[in-house]
Amino acid sequence: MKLMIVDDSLIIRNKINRTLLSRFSKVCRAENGQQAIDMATAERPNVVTMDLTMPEVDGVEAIEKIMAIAPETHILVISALADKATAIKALTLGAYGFLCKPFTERELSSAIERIIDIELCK
Amino acid sequence: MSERRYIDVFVDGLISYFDHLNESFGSSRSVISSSEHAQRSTQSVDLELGTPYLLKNEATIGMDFTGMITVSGSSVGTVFVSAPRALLKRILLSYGEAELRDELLRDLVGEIANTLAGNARRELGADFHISIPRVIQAPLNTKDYRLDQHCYLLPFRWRSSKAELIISVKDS
Repeated sequence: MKLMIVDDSLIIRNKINRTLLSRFSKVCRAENGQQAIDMATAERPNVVTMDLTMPEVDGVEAIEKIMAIAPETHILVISALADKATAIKALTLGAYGFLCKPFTERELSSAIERIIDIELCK
Repeated sequence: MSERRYIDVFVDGLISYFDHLNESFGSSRSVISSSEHAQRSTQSVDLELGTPYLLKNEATIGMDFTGMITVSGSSVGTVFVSAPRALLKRILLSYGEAELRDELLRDLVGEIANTLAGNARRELGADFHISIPRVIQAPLNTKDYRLDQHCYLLPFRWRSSKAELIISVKDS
């Protein structure tokens, strides 16, 4: 199973990578929405963790485009934007779940395990 | 919305940030506060909150690294999180980073500012628009940032290292 980590913060990409590395056969990383769209097209990840506030192309636009390219992708939004309207918008666009920053490794693992369960049941 | 309300919202975010940081790494829980703000929470670990005070015009603020977020929409202004190298290195170690280079310290202070401002939308709503963080690696003067409204500085310490949260936000 492939994971793509999308966040403009290197520290957050590293933290997610360290927490989830053992669960995936391949992990790729993108630091903005455009890189994420390009990488999703090339790599077809099963699972994506997606930040929303990023330079160039933001996470909302990236979700829209990735869902158009590969609707089977499970996207977990990981964002500091903690208002309900943003969460609802991301879910409406096709994201599977929403995890608010700051997050613990336990919260991240738990959210990803739910997605992996769905992938394994396919 | 009163200036006090903005301060409360950001203090809640600060407490939550350090609470999560410590929860990730299993520290014991304790809170020390010289202000009434922290008394709303007993969750934050190793975090000491000082009393917010009004900055004078043309005050020089900031420590080694400052993360700055510009606010627009339903509110306007600027929020800064400023910290010394030592505190940011401690946080990086808590994140499990082995390298403590300046690139990561800049990234971290911007991410903290972004997290506090983004979390403020839980209370302030989606019309509280926030910019991508800008990082300043030098002391800064309030006059250079057109802080044309009251600017409050909240000193705090985490594991004995001092840092500052600076809030200059008003309704638009």
